[in-house]
Formats: sequence, C-alpha cells, structure tokens
Amino acid sequence: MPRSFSGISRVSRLAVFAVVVLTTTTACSAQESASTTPDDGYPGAASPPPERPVSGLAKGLALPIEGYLISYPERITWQRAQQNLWKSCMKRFGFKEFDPPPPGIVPDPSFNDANMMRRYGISDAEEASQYGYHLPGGNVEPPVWEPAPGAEGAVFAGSGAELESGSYQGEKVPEGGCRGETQRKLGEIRYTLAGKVEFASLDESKKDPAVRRAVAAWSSCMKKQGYVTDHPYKAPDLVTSLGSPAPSPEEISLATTDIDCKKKTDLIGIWYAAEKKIQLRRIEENQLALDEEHKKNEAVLKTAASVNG
Amino acid sequence: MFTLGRRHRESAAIGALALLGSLFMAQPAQAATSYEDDACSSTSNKYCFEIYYNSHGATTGYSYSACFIANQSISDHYGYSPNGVTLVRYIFRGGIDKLPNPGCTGAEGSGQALKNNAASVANNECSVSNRVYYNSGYQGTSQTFSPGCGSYWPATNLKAELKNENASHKRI
Repeated sequence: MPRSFSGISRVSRLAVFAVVVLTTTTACSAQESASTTPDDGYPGAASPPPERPVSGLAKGLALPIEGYLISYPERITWQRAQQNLWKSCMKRFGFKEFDPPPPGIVPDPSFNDANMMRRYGISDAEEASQYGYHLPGGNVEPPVWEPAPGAEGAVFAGSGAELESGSYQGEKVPEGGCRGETQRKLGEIRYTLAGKVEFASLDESKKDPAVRRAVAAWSSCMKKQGYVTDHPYKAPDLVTSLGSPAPSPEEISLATTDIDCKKKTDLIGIWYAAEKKIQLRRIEENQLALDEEHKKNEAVLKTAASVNG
Repeated sequence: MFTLGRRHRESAAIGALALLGSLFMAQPAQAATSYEDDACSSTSNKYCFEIYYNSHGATTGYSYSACFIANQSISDHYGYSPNGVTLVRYIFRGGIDKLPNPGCTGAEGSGQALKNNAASVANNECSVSNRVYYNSGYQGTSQTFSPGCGSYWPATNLKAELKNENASHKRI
C-alpha cells in the first residue's frame, strides 16, 4: 500500500526541518516508514515544501494519486544516497575532494509532480500581488557543479586517457566508473504509471461540464477586467515579463486579476473536485499495477536510506 | 568544480520562427530577435540538462535529435527580453559544440522553437533534479528528472501529456 497522503503518516524525523509535522498514527507500518522517511537534517538542508499548500485558494488540497508519486523529501534521500555512493567510490581511487553540493539546499515550491500550489495555475493572491507569476524567493538557484576534467572525470565516468586498460594507478575501475557502480547499486525511481494517472485525470477533467462552465465563467470575469483569454493556463502569455528576473507591473496586475476571478468563480475548488473523482476511479482501475510500481520504489528508497545511514 | 555563467546565442534570424512569434504571442514589435540554444555554463557542456526535439531511441535509450541545453531554471521556454526591446528566443540545435556523442548530434529539429516542441530529456547535471512544467511560470502538471551527471543514458521521454507541451523547467 502506498504511503498515506493523509498528512498524518510522515514520521517526526522531519521535525528537524522547519515544517509542521503531525505525528504518526496511521496504517503505515514502522518498516514502511523507515524505508520512505527522508534523512534527518544535514548541513545546508533547506526546509522541504509542505505536503499541502498552506495558503491561497489551493490551501489544504491534495489529490489521491500523490501517495504514489515521489515526494520531495524522498527525492532528496535518493539524491543524497547517489552522492554518498559516488563519494565513497571516488575515495577508493584517492579523490577525497570529490564533493558535490548536497541536494535540497534551495527550497522547492512543490512537494511532488502534482504541483498543487500551481496545478490549476497560480492560486495565492498575496504572492501574486508581489511576484506576479514569478516564484516567491526570486531567482535563487542551487549551485552548478561538475567533476573536474582529467583523472577525476575519467574515474567517475569509467573512460578517459588517464585510465590504462580500465585501471587507474593499478586499481581496476568499475564498469562505467563510479557513476556506473552507483547506478547499479542504487537503482532508479520510476513512477511512470502514477505519473500517467496524475496527468490523465487533469486532462480528463478539462472536459468535465462543471469545469468547462467554471473556466468559461473565469474567462468572462477576466474579460470584464480587459483581459481576453480563454483558459487560466494561457493567461501568462498575455504579458512578456515571465522570463525576466522580476515581474512587470502589468504582470502583477494580470496575476492579481487571474486569482481574483478564480476566487469569484470557485474555479480551483470545482476543478479539484472533478479531478479527485476521476483520479479515484483511475486508481481503482490500476490499483495492482500502481501498488507494484510503488513497491519497487519503496525498495529503492530503502536502499537509499541505508546508504545514507 | 564551479563554473561561470555563459550564454551562447545564435544571432542569425530565422524567418519562420520570427513569424510564428509575431502570430501567436503577445509580443511587442521587436527591434531585434536572437536565438539561444545553450543556456548551460558547463565548460565541456557535458553536465547540462538536455531537452530533445525527438523521443529517445526505442532500443538504445539515447536521444540523438537536436536539443536545447541549460543549467539554469527557465520560467518560459518561449524566451525572454533582456531589456524590453530585444527578444531572445529559445530553440533546439543539432551538433551543439563540445557536447560529446551521442547527445544532440542529430539535425532533426534544429532551429525549431523550444516551447511546446520537446519529446525527451536527459538530466546530466550532477547535484540537482530538473522538473519540466506544462505551463510557463512553473504552472500545471510537471515531471521530474534525477541527475545523471554526464551519463546521457538513459534519456527519458516526456510523459504523453507533456510531449510538445513543455513550457518551463526548474532546477530543484
């Protein structure tokens, strides 16, 4: 069974992060929790995003499929394990300075690919009044990093002039280098089916009569304010400042109106309700395969957690 | 090693793209349009997030077609206006310099617009995942890709609904 997305199953090891974590009382077994709970804090770790939006029109909304998607803390756990395996392998060959910046040092706005905060377009009026369609927090990016060219890169990738007959300084380099060894040891997280259900429900919901009526009402509300657009997803195309470092006054004005019209028409509430219903049906239709996919990811995450120690 | 930012721009005008831009986007009249296929500061271009025009090979797992590369978040795959007057459009290009085989070696898709035109990706950054969004401004549904740190393999197809519907991406 998937990790519950009820908001009460995530274990309190997350408490080191500055998020509200309700303590556990659910159907998740201790073993499941141990295998999917992200690691404790580490130097540079930022607070993970909340499981559900905590403000705006999408506040508290979560879709059933989210329990089958990979959460942000799980992704960070996997990436940390990847780096730990890279580092221990590189150390065997004398590269003690091989040290990529840890993952998760810049907060991410989404808990998973469902992107609830912006799934139905922007949803927070206060954010929009300051940032338009831009993300709060501006343009802070995680650092860019790569292996050094030469011997370090060769041992990492398993090929290069610095290797002699597949060895470096007499030591046999694993196939595909330390990168290849890590791939084999850790495995990949794959949630193809869950991802399919996640989007298919969104696609199907667009055809729902109630959603279509709400979108039309939103569009008519926008028109009254001077904006001609037939869908919230297309609204940002009315301005040209999305790719700029800061929002223009026009962008802020458009974004504020966008959310005001969503509020007046209850677009997000109607859309969410329609989608949830579709998702429950699609999950039921694919239950066994979804559970199977989830189980495989649980195993990978368990390996990752044990690598991280 | 940490690297400095660099932008590579194709300044040659591509008439069809400019025409498309003027027809479908609410862009003001532009004094000049340039084209960018490389928003990646990696010195060797080995360690970038690649977005490909075509799907990956069914048996090889590699993508060969023209690509766009980045190691920065991009909130609108259409492009940006650095000063409110000129316009920079993002495009795919085949045979991006310094990129090792087999990435981006194919010519198919070269010169085409990036936005709503991609079929697969390979995240060859090392310490971040990259997430592709259905809409500009990081809106709508999304798909996240783990770091492969220069391995190029396997490339991943965008899920059916994101195929030709890519509008922004974010490093996370």
